[in-house]
Amino acid sequence: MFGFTSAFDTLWDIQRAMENAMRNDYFGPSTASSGYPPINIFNYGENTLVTVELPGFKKEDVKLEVKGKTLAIKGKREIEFPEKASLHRRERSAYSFDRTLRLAHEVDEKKIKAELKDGVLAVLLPPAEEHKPKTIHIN
Amino acid sequence: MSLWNKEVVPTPKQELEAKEEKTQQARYYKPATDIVETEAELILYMDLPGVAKENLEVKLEKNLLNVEGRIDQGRYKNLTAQYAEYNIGHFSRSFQLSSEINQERISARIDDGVLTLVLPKAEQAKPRLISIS
Repeated sequence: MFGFTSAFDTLWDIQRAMENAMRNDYFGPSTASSGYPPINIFNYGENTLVTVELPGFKKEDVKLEVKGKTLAIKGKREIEFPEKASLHRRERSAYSFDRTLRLAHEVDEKKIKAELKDGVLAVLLPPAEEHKPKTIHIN
Repeated sequence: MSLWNKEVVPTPKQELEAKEEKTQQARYYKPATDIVETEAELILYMDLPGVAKENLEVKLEKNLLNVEGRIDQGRYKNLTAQYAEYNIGHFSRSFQLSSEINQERISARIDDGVLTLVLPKAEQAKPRLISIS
């Protein structure tokens, strides 16, 4: 869905860029702040791309709602074990979540694309027409 | 089963402390793993979000089981990070197996970023019912 592989970009470069983004105070004084599950927000050209790691979630388990400048993501995962299983180690959690994000711009609702692949949810949010950056000509 | 759902608190991604240095500098993460035992087998469930079947490697050498899942970093190529709450990276974790496992019949499958690894017990390790006369 996005990009193509380059032999020159290393995973380390991406990880360092992500770490800088972690210190970014994107939300400021608003209702949203870090929560669970963790969410990443990227820019893809003029679009916003939101990603969430949701291993084990299927499309039916996740609900996405866009209203104005907010995006709500909710979902629930159950974890099932075979009957009569004895537990050695338990680290994964079954949980339900409901997070609301405030976006930087209004979204063109007709052009939103969302994909849940291999346990990663990616939501592409193109800006609404009136919010696209406009070039100003200098006479 | 619902008891188990209440016990575990979600935790942030655990970074792996590698014993040896790798030639390519990058952070690896330890996938959250559940291990259960049934009468006939040991089953491992690992959360590997972003790992597709072709990027998953399960290796068994002597008694050491190693799982390595790589993410497709090309998907991030034309993106710039604006706000991040989690970092991305490959996954790796190793477990020591006992000789109780029939190593030839280990099976693995990955769906929606979750790896299910089934380790059948060797015949002599299955519990035997002792009859009381």
